[in-house]
Amino acid sequence: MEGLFFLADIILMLLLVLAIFRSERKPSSEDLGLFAYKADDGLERQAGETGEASHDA
Amino acid sequence: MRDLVLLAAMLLFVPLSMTNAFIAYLLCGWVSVLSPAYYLYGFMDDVRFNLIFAVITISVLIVGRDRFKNRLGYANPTVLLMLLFMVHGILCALFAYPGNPLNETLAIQFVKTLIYCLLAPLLLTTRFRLHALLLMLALGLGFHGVVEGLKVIKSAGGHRPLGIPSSMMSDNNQLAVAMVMALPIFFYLYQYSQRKLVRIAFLCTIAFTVACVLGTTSRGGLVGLLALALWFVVTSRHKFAALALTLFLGVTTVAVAPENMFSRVSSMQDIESDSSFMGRVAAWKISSAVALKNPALGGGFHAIQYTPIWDAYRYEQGLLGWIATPPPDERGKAAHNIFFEVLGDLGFIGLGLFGLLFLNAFRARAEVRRLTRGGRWLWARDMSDMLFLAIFAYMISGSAVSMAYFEPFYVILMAMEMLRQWVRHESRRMADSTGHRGEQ
Repeated sequence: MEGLFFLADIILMLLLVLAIFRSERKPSSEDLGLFAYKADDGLERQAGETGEASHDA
Repeated sequence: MRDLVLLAAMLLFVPLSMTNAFIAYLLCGWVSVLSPAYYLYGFMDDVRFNLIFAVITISVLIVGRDRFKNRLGYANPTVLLMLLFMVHGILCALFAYPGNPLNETLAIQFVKTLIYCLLAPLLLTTRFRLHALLLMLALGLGFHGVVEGLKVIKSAGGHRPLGIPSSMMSDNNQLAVAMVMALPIFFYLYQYSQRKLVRIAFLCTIAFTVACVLGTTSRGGLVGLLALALWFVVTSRHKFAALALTLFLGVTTVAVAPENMFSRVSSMQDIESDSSFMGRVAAWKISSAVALKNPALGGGFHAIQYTPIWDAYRYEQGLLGWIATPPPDERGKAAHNIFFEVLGDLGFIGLGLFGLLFLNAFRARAEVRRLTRGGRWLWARDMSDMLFLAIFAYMISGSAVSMAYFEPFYVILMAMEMLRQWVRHESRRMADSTGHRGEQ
């Protein structure tokens, strides 16, 4: 089991590195591939927010 | 087999890292927290992976071109504090008590950690890169959480994670602190990952990591988990749902977990008769006594773990003379608290700088929250919250463990600073463009 997860971790790191390599070669590209993050949707989320908190339960 | 897999990966990692300093930087951090040497049994276990990537990072930074280099500037309070802390640490190591074999090894490790962090302002210049840095930490620390957590679950609580010997998480308590500290990072990545599969993976990582922390039977780890749960409930937008979820998870864990998992923790109720805890207080007394004797430079790295130094201060009461403790052990022991560890090792100046690093991070978080008011860059606000929580978890859980020089902690401090610099930079840019529009 440990070996499989070790292999998976290496593959995931490789995917991350390849995504950075690809993205940083293109101007104004910010695509992390599998690990892509959500766009800044602050204004919409803020509308439903009560003040202090900012994360979902 | 594992060695061959890693060799094949290295054949891809090395050329890729030569094209981009940030890739080399991430790989250097990843191998440092993953500690692959512990999981390898063949020809690769002697390879110094982080040295390879450190050399590549610095070389590419010197000769190569980074399109985001110096975008946010280099001078900031965290850089200044880390530089002072590093110089002070070197002086402490040079003027340390002679004969302590740990002094030199730890001093070198300490300097390497801070140099790694001091390179960050050159590289952590965009949201993309900050997110990638958190992913790197998650892939490095999450691996231990998932593997050890699964072993705990599979053995129905029988397996006790004892740490990763070749790393700075070399015992169960240190592993527990590292895992508690990683949980907010996993949560941020769960919140902000776009793909559902990745979000589910981070949720599972959180669950397995909690199992790993419980499996260590570390009291510091459990206190850290409770502090995180409390923060989660108090600051959540949906307090009842958060409270119900936390209670459900807590009750399920207590009901399912075997008795031995909580037997050590229940001894916390009677601290005065807990020999393990009182032994720690005795170590804090000795650490503070070393600092009182050497207020500026302390006794050197992990001085009290060296039996002759421990022996010389064995019956000193230091700053905690008002607490009665049984006679200390005859052999040198760890300080068992990050603050007393720094106090004994690096004196009052070192402790002051260490405290300022925390304070500066808390101020950075407050500034990010102030600048992101009104709904813009909510991701930055959430990231600052989660980085703060990781620092807070380290502070709480670290009060019973010696791991003041733990690399991910300093990386998180620097990430918080660079997040502040990014938000400042964007706020200024936005204000300038609004001003220009107003003039027209």
